Amino acid sequence: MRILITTVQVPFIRGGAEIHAEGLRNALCEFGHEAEILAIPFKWYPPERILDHMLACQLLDISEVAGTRVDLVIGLKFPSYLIPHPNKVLWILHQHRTAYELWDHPLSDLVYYPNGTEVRDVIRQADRKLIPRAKAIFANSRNVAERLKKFCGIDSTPLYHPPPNAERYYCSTVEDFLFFPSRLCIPKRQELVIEALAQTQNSVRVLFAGVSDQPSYANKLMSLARKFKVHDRVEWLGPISADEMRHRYANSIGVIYPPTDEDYGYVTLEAMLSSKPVVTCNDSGGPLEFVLDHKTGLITEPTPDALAAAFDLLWENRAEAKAWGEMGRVRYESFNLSWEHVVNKLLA
Amino acid sequence: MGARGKQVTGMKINWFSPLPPATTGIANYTQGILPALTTQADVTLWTDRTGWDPTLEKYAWIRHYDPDRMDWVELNRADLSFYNLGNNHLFHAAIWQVSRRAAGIVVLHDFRLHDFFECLYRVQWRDADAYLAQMERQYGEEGLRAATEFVNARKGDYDLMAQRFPLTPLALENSLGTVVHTREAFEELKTAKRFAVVYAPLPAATLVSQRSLSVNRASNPYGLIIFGHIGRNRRLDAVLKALSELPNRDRFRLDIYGKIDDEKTLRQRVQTLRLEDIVTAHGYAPAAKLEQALSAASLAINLRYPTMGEASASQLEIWSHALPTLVTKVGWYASLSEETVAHVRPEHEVEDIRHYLESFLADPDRFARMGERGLSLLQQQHDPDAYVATILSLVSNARQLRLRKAAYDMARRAGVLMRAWAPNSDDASRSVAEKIHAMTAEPGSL
Amino acid sequence: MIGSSVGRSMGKPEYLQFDIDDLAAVIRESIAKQNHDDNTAPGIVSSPEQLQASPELKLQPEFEPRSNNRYHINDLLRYHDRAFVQNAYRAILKRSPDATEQARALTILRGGRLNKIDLLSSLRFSTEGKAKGVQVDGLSLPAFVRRLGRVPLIGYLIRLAITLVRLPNVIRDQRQFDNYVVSQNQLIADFINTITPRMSEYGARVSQLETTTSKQLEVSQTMTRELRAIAEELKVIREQYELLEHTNNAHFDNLEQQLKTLEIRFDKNVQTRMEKEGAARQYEILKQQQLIKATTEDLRAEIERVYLQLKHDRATSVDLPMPKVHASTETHRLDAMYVALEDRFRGSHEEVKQRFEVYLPYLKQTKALLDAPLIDVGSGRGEWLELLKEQDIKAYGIERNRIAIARCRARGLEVIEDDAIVHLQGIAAEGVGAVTGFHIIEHLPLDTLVHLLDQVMRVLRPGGLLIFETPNPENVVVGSNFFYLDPTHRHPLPSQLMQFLFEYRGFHRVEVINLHPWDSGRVAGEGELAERFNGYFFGPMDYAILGWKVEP
Repeated sequence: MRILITTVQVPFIRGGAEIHAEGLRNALCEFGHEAEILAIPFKWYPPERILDHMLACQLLDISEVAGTRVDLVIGLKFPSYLIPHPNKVLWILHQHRTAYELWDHPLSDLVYYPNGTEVRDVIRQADRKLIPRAKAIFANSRNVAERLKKFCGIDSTPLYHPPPNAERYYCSTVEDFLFFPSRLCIPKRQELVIEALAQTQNSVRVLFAGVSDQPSYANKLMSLARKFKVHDRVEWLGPISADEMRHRYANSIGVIYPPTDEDYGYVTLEAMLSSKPVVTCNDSGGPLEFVLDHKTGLITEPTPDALAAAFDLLWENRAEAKAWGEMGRVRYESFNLSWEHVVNKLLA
Repeated sequence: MGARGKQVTGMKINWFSPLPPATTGIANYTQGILPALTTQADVTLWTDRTGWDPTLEKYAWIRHYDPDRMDWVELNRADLSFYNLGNNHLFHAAIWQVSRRAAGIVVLHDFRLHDFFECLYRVQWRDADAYLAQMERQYGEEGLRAATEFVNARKGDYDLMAQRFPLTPLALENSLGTVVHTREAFEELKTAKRFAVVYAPLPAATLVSQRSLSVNRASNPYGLIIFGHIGRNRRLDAVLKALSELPNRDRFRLDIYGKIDDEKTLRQRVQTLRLEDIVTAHGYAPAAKLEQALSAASLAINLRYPTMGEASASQLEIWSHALPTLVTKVGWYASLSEETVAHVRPEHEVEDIRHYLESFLADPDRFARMGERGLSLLQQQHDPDAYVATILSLVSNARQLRLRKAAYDMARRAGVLMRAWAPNSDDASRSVAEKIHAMTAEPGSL
Repeated sequence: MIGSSVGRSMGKPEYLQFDIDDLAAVIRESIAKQNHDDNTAPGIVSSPEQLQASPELKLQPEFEPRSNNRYHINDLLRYHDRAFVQNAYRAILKRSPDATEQARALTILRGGRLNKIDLLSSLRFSTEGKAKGVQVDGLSLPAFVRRLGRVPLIGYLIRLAITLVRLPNVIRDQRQFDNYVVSQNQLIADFINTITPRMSEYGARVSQLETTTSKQLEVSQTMTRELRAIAEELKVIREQYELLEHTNNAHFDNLEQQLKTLEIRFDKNVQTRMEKEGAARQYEILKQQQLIKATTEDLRAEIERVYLQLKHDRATSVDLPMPKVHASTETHRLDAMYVALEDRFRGSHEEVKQRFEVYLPYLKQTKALLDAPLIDVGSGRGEWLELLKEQDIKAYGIERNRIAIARCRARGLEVIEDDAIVHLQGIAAEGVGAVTGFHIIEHLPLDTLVHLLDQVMRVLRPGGLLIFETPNPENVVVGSNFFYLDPTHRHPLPSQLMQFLFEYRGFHRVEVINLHPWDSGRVAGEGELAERFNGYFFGPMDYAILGWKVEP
């Protein structure tokens, strides 16, 4: 089959969504299809620009290319999933979140614009009307599916996929640190973790991997660590290679992953693949689909003292941490996450 | 916290209006409908002044704002914003500015807003060029020419400008819809496609007869009453002239309440016409005193010429006292039935006034019945509850109003972009229009 | 009973209808409209609430590469320092210098080993430069002469000749440089001036909030006081912030710290209040808290932005000395040497004392001195204090050189050992009649100088007088030679700069008096040339600058 995967690209920015699209393309090719990624540029400000991009998507015609039919379109991201096609399947990574659950939220930008409500209403209307035009609708996670149901009344099936290079994760000798791999940004809540460190009973050490979108934010985190006098207990690894990443996972006591309402989140899965317990929060979204409290990790209130208690618990009870980690690995296997499964579902 | 608890509908409204004690009828209007409005919706009153009548706080949250530093988040939290606009730039400039940025419903208290924009640009912002530019934008070369002459003239004809170039579109172009209080305005605007146009007669402050039974209507002499802000459009000259020509004018007393723009001229005129014994100017009167005066009067004179197309809150007040009224046959007043008011033709003012005064003396009961009919009209058509229902119907349709506006805006932006490369092709326009419609229209509609 | 188009009954009102034809019509209309104002046209227009950006601080003009590959040498010479190097590379080699090249060029230029023309010619006549073939008019002759000058034997003669020939140019360059410094300072000042109203706007915002609060909340009186304190502190921060142009990281961190404490204090305050108050008040307070937060955020962003800007521009403009505000001053090892130095170069005791007489008339006019003392900052050997004592003017000196202090005290003069600024900070406002300082300001970094001016302004009585005397760089010999006889001198201070600073810090009736022309050195003869020569070389060697604190 000739398959086009539609997604959006914010030029110069690369993250989980890009990896996701490439993973899907590779899997499709592996199963003998001709697949390509079609990324349209996206800019979300001023808000009316979102509407223009939505309109632009709708005006595109990808039903055939040079006389040859495009057999299937798989839409991943807003607004690229609005591109019409007679045989379209959606696998929604997420909708435009600030028009939905993040509308009146500190992370929102839309609500700060005088025409924010107008644009929000159009996004919701277009989603509500145009998403159901697809033949089948999948969501990247249960969290995303639930939002789609709640806000747009649209039913969808959660469809999980494995993180890239899942087979390469391993577990090794435990060293004295907890690991927190993520982009340094507000939604991932590194700040909360630093505050929590100030309240631990033990001298808990945390290694942070990942870069910041803005240098100033990295500086802010570092000065926060100094302010809470935990700077000698944290280490900023910055951008590290995939090899080193797996190595750090393997040597950690456990993995910290407490984002705000994450859609899916590879970190949880990678931790489970590395047989490590995961500390997350009860408002973290995606991770909650995988982590079982006191079985494969810890789910806490999103507060410094609750997190601090969780860190101490792992730090003091290494054996238990190890057992939870192993349980996590078993649980991962039980989900049967594979690209084969994904491809079968999407092409069914 | 009073009415705030009653969120039956869960609706939340932003309401931009002058608030009492601001001396404008629009402040009273807001105060008047607030009790009814707040039983059904959570209302935030936005004001750019620092003071307000504290009794308002019983009904609504009050927020101070500065149009240059708006809290859009708070604004976006409500279902819909209402912007009350009238001709006084001192009260409505900030409101208009916000309405330009965040689309909502414009409540038009005057149908012609030329005075508002002219004063705003030229007096308040000292930017005559901007005024000229707007005139050109709205009315092309003709508008620019007239405006230039007007700006250069030592004493321009405001009324003529307002008639020819009302500039009202400038207040509506970013709106989701407008509420108008007069038929005339509705007829003029109803063809607009980009925003909703809703006609709702001005709500009366109260539907209960305000006539004080303890005050007797004098019959000898009969009381005539004029009240409100007395400018040249209130035609006092003509009234005095007509009175002076009346052989048995001694059977009338004329009481004038309210601030008079040119009191000196009035006094001279009264002297010249030898009406000192008949005419009394009382100046500003507190509400209670005015109520009493209205109860004691037998005939109200409520002339307006020219008119800015406003519906008259004072006419409603007159009716609430079951008083017959002489009004000018123009604008909203012209649309009133002969059953409820007596029409004075602008071109035959003195003649008509004299005629009505004579008829009154001949058959005062006929006029009294006219006043009674006015009261019942008030009760039928100017019911604040009905008015509030109209407002709330707009709120419950806010989402669709926004979708429709967004659709039109998208169409316009698309057109601007296509201008560069598309010959004016119907096909291209139509296919874009279809896509916009697909995104925005309610399912099932065409 | 309601108007026709809206019914109270259920069902969709007709005003909600719109169809494809309507939209297509709008598109066609929009396509057809010619030359119309799309920008002012309505619609979803959003210019989000942004801080109006402050004007950008630009110290040197933009460089515009020429497409015809032809420049005049002056097009390039008008840039300075880093900008000069950058632009020279961009013009002649059509690329930017890499880090090493830039660093090397700057070292050479700043060290004075080669001048700008040398650098231009070395670029132009390098292999790479020849290949690019960019024409620089006016470069070849001076470059040739400069190259000759570096030939050992005849080099000395050539250089001498060049010096003589170029003397007027040297003078002009010197003046240009002076002007340049002044204009740079002016630019910075203008910039700060545009920022200052913005800062008071923030203050105004805070006090506006204050007003609303006090009206609505009886309980809020305490909070109002808090707000006022914050407004005060903001003011203080603003003042400090004005010094930012020369401040260092530590200082900036400190500011940020203060802002943080402010925030924390404010948060705490609001929280305790909120616990006690009803829902309505909580709501209002919350709003105001948000506003204050936003304001503080704005302020912080502004400071950060300006700071970065200044840092950047400082890096690309003339090298201003990096200040050390309160450097440790406990080393007195060199005290004896400075005393000797001063003995040697400032002239005899009597001579110096006589020179000071010029100031006496100004002191006589100063009524503030009737009941308040004069402070002489850096009183040195004490000639001035002695003169004042003879004139019955109550005065004392501040000095850090212990040998000088001992000498003065031996002669019955009152001198306090202290740092001038520290001392001034310790005394009450408006308690001093006059402040004088002879040959001290050229020892101070610019920010310390400004700080000193501010402290003087604070301690002076209304009508009080400030006098500084300093070497006059307008005299070429002073500016290029004598000035550097004192190794603790920072940089020459042109009188225009000082005048500007005085005025900028609020002194009135600012006056410059030129002093001490080197009459005996004058070249004899009439005529413009001699006049100009004498002016530049033997004109006033010092100048005094006087300013008064306004009387109400």
